Amino acid sequence: MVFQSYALYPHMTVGENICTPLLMRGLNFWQRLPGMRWLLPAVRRQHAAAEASARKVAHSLGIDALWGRKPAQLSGGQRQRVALARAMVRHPAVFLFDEPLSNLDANLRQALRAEIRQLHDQLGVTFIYVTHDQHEAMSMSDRVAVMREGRVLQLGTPDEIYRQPAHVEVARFVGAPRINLLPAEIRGAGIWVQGQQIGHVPPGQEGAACQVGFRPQLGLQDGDKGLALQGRISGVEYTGAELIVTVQLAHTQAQEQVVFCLPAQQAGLRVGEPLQAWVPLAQLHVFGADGQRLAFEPLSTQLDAAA
Amino acid sequence: MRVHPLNTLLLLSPATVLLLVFLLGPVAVVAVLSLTDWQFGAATLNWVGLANYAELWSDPVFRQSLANTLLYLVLVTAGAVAIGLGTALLIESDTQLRGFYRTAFFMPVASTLIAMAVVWQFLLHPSAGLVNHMLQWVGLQPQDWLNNRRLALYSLAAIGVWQMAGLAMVLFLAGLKSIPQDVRDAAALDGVTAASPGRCSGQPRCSSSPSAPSAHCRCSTPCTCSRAAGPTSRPRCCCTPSTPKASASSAWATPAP
Amino acid sequence: MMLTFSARTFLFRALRHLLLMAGALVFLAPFIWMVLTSLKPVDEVFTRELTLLPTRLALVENYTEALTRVPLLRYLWNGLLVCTAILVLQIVVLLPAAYAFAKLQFRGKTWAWRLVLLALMIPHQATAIPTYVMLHHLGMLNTLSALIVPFSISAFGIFLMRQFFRTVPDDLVHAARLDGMSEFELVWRVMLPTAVPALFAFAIFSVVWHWNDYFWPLLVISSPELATPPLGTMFFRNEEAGINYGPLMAGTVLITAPLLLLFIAAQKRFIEGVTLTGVKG
Repeated sequence: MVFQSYALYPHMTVGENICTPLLMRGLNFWQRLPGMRWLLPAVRRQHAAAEASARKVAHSLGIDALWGRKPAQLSGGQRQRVALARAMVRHPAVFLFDEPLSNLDANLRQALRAEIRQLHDQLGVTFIYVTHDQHEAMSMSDRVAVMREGRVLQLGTPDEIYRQPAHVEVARFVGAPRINLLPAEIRGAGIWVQGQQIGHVPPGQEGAACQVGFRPQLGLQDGDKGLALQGRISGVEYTGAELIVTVQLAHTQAQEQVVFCLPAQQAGLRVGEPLQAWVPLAQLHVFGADGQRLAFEPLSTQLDAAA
Repeated sequence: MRVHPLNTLLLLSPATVLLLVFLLGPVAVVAVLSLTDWQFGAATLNWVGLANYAELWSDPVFRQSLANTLLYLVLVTAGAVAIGLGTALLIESDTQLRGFYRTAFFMPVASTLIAMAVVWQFLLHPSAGLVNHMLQWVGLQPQDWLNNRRLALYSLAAIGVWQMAGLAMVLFLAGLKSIPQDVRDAAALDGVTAASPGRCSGQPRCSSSPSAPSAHCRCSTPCTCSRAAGPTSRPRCCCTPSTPKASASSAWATPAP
Repeated sequence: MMLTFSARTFLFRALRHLLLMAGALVFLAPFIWMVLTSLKPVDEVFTRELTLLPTRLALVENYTEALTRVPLLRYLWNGLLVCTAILVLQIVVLLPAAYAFAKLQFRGKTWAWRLVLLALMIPHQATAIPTYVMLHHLGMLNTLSALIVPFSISAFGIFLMRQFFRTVPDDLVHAARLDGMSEFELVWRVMLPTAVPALFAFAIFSVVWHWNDYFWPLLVISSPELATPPLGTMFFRNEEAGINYGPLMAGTVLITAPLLLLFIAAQKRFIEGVTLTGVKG
């Protein structure tokens, strides 16, 4: 297991840290007592074998130059590598990573992320990686389990998680900027948002308060098909690659805002200007009152022909 | 992570057993025995309830000894704390000879009191003792410090203060050192901003070379030296005002060590 | 009176030195007087006027007298033996318990901790009589073990080490368990090395306390060969019958010297240790 705080033994050198798991497993209680190393040749052999294995692993991670140093003398990235080496040296069947990169700065994090991915391909062993960073989760994994308060909300590939979130919390977790959520009402079999009916939902949800979400990356969409949104621009953030525009919606009760990500060249966007946008119905996600995804059939008249 | 209860038991058992046998057990026994009429070495005992306590309380010797103890306690505590605080403040106020003073005042605490009691007995000797010699030297009357009924307790209290003041001093030193620099800065800064942000609150002193000015201003923020025009004018020192709000808020955000 | 900054500093410094030096002199006077008297011959001890320095150096006579009258070196040796044994036993007993209180969960933990805190408050004298009777029944009176065993538990030690162990990150303990260490090994291989500063502080506290303890040896020891330094001082004083102060002072110099020299050599650590135990305790 690789810990968030590295959990290296502060009084042992890097070499001793990496050898410890091998020694603990390889020697029994009596052989581990202090002094036995010098008394019994068998113990000495074990120590030598452990050191040889440890050095090999250290070399593969590029930390053999640090062999004699103590953890206090290492940088964050070096410490994390030593922790990794200590976990690897046992050739486990499964690796557990507990937010190992969260204490490192952004550049180092990126570099180590790539290294961990490489390591995974190299070793061919299962890695279970815990993280709060959704970028890390999506970019590094084959499968993602999104958990909240101890329960798994969804288990699937990153693509499934992004495109078909099974729970509103999953939708909120993945994607930056966050998904836009608007309150919706179910009247009869139809679902109404912003005073417009956008489609039908399965029966049995009459009167429930649910939410409808769409990703900011959908853009403003021309034409007048889809969910019509009107409002006033309340904020524009220029990030170099794109513009993040916050719009205060007009026909709302609770001052809802939605966010759009638009290409940076888009002109005519200033704070205070009115804005009109249409969101294609096929890109909407509907979540029920309990947060679970609802099967939603968009109104065919509003569907864009090309969608 | 669950640890096997047997392991926990093994870890705790030596300490628990010894605690019960040598500390808690005896106290319980003493508490129970205080309610009986057991004599040391006797084979039997009878229950007498609180009679022992009543007898103790009505004994004038006990009450006198209790009064003496309280007086001694007050004198030694007050004296040790006062002297400890005073010396700690004096020592901390400057950097010269700190180590020496600290050692000097703390030595009585580290010494064996019994052995030093013998030395004190000699020091307080009515005819040959140093204390009386010194008093005679300045013209005061020598006293029989340890045998005079009125003075004995105060002499002992003085010895007690001598032994304890160093300990109090060391604890106060630790306390004084632990005041975060932020708080000191904020305090100093409040003084400066009360007057005017550009002026120094103390006497500035710049070194002679204008290229390497060093100022000893009474501000906690960095000072810049400037040589005013004219050979006889004194160099002036200006405090760089830092934002008092930032200092103050960071001062209170620092957790106490 | 407007003084320059430098003049004011000088005055302030002079005053500070004056006050502190006077105080230091008063505080060090007993030690200085003790050493000086130990160098004086008999006729110069009781004099009319104040004589600081001896005219004739009686160093050899006084110290030989001190060393031969009573087994002073034996006392020092006993002190060393007893204090070391107590410290070792204390460490062996309290480290696992402190670890259990700091890092493990078990039934009755709160009550057990309250018992430890209660034991902290018990004065030494309160437990003396029952312990004495217990040792008497075990036939251990007047032995060195009687001096060592009752002190093998230190509630203060458990308290101090537990406070310190709580600052050790839990992840370290988890990592050690995953590496295959048993709880026992965890205490000695992982917790002990990280706790060295606190242990040092506790060691100082324990050694100073037990070296200077007069009450308990007075109760349980009756033969002079087993005396610890404080008890030895009393034996010595009785032997000298309080007249010949020269050798008596020489004796006290020899008895207080080890601890004082240790203090002077390691005073920074000493004071740090006392501060740690004082502030945390």
